[in-house]
Amino acid sequence: MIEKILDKAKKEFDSVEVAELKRTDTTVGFQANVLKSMKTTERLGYALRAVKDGKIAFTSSSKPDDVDGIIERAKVTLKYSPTAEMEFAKSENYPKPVITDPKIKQLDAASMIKMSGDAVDSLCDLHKNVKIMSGVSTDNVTMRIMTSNGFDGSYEKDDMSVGAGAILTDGDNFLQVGHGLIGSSYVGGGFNDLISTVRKYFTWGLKNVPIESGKHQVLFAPDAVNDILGIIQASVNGTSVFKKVSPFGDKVGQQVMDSRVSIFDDSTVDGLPSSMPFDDEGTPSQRTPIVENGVLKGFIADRTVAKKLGITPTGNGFRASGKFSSTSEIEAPVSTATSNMIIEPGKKNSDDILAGIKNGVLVVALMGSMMGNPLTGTLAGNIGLGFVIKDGQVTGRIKNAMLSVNLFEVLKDSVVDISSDTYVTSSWARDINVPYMLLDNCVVAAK
Amino acid sequence: MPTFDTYHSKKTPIIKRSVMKSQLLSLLKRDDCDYIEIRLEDTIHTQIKLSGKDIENVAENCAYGGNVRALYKGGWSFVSFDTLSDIEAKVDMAVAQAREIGNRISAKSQLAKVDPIVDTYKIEPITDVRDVPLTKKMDTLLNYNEIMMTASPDIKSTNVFYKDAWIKQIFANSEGTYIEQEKMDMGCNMYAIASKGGRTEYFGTSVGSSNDWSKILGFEKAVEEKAKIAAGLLTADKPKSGNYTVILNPKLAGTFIHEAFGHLSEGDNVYENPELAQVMSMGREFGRPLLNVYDTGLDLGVRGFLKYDDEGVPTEKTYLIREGKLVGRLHSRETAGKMGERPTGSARAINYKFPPIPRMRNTCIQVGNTDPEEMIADVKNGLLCVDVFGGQTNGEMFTFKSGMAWKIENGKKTEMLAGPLLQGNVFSTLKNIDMVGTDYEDPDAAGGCGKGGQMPLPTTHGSPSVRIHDVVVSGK
Repeated sequence: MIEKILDKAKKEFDSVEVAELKRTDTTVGFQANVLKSMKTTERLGYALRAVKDGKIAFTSSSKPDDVDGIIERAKVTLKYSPTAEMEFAKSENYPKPVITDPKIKQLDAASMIKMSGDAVDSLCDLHKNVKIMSGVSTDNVTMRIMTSNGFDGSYEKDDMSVGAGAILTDGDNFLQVGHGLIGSSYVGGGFNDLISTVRKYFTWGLKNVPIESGKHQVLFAPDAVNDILGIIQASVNGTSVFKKVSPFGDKVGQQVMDSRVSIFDDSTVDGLPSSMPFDDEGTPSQRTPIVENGVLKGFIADRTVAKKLGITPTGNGFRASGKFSSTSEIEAPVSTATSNMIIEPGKKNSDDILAGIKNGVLVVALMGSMMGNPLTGTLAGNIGLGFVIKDGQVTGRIKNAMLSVNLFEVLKDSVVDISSDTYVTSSWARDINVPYMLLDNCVVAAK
Repeated sequence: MPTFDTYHSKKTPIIKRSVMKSQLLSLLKRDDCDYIEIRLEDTIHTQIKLSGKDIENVAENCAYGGNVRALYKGGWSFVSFDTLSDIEAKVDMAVAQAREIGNRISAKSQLAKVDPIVDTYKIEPITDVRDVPLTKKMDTLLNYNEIMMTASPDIKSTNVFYKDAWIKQIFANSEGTYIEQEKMDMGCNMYAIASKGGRTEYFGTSVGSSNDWSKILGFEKAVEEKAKIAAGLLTADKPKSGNYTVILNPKLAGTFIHEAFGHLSEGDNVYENPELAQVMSMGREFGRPLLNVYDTGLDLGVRGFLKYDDEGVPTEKTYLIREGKLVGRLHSRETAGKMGERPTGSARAINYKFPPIPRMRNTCIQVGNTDPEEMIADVKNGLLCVDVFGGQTNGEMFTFKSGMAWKIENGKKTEMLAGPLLQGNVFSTLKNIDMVGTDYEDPDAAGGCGKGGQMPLPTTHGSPSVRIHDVVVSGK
């Protein structure tokens, strides 16, 4: 059908791009220590972008044989569509990261149930009233993009994720911890780390301890580093730069962070969840330096934003900012979004960093950090899961406290350490591979 | 095999009725599972996004597909698909998967009993989104955008997000329920972005409806005022972090109750957790006698309106808190069945790609009897928090972001402040509500609620102003 849409659309418009997205995913899940469900989804959808009279129209459909409907809707919306700033992809060479894995394809329902059940078995001794949840998912995606400029590329991708969590309700005190593995390669090898991480957080969380309001040294676990990147990402997105709302807009070449901080956006690494040969508009994938040794190097941009900024597109044109959002499928328009965000590791292991903290806080999960205005550089949220550290030891869990950090200041002047160990993690918003980060001068407000 | 007869002209019936109904019901006659259902959907969405001087996106998309959900010995399977031509195979697959799970757990399938329903529910919109040409939608939004952009020299950009949808849905289950249902949805957020000297602030308003496109009209004055507030926030201070008495305006109070109590009322948190069920036992005191909270699908016109949920159960008005005490929760048929409670028509899915789970509809703090002006009178050092930028909860603790705030000193509104982040704990914060206002509102917006990867679900939060003591505020 993709050729049919392309051929018909070519007759109606000056230039066109058609994408076909096909995916099948399977998930098995345990809930409250018991096997609960199995879910299979099969998707097949088409998206068209079409240029005529200097405008670019966009539409999509998951209806079979909707060729005429797609073209009709593109014609109707054309008049109001954005000005076409860029040209669709031409035939080009692109990298070929390894993103399929026979070991994922071989996972049948029985082995997924077994792995998920093993997680429950390994964790159910944590407490007599503990409720363990676990799940294993596999996902197979085929993407094909064709343009009237001669681009015709396709790739296949296998994804796998394993997650486990523990819930304890002890009167009015709730404890909820969880961890996950994700990749475009078999991630079952990390199973023992997954279990030990959940055990560690749960055991630490059994005791609540008070914390004083004020400035603290905070060790951000990789999941909380994800929140840090959420704030930074807004300022390094070419869209913010073009709109002149990014505080980094005129700072390329300047020292914006501590010299130990290096941040890349990289969709070419084998096996990472957001790796692929080309983005959703056919631009080849690449490793884009954003901050190197603390110096701002550049921004990410899809074809439209790159044209507006007069830079080369960076392979960051995606149909959503996150694959877990319901709009992250074929019906989302292409915009500039991160692929795998990577922070380069430091020299010391995270356990050794923690052991060296005299008075501090370990933050694993923040709530509400995406509700503020990220362009101010302020990361603020309720500490959903966090711990007090005294003399190199975790003494217990912090509750009912808020964290507030001005990242533009703290990442420049208050970086204490960055761990040598890094973790691949994922949220609704982005995929990352990052170390732990120890930052000073973080404000905690407690009840 | 059934073809879902589409095209969103009003003359076409939802489906070729004679074909579809009998075929679907016969597909569901199986003796190798305990329960099975099919849900088919055909949706046309319009999405428009304006950003400053640019039109960022205008799209009309078609989402078309369905799902089969089956239950066997306590094990569920859910199969969703875009291609309907081999629906028999999908039914077989769902049953096989449910048996794979059910045979391993061998539990009892427990669904609360409901009477089978055969119904066709057509909505009667006041202004149908399909009757409004794209030209009119665009002109309306471009006008608001222009008003905001010219409201102050400090307004550098805007964020106008509009969406509407017309949904046709068919639901059938193995108990004989067969429902054809239409849904309309419209929402719009209009925000002005002010920027000066490296500082950026934003403020705006929003609207939504499930039966009247014209609700979006008449916002010329409102968007101008909101844009001026955004510009004013550029020089506003942040409140000092600490504990305050706060007054939430209706828009913020609605999100507050959604996060603070709504999510914990959802039956799937409780039904497999006896310790939590004990904590959440009926009659437990959560607030003072002045606090009444309910969730309803019956409010015609708000985005949280719903005739039948995604298990074919009629919706209702469900009281959650009456005079401060817990009296109900939001159930799917399974969570109700397992807890021996009544299904409430709260099983919802954002679309055919997802299974239904217990969700909110219009979650409300019932109107009280305090004049909002009175709430300020005896506050020595507090905050009046206005409008909302979002909220989140982990069950026990919750956080929500206010759009802006006024400092209250010795009973007077004094300084305008940038919106703080507030946090609370369900077991203490609700008890600290000591005043509930007379100024009830049903505000709607273009966003919605997110849970279990399903976002955004159309929900509404109705509330009057409320006053709460001892709230942790994160400012500067």
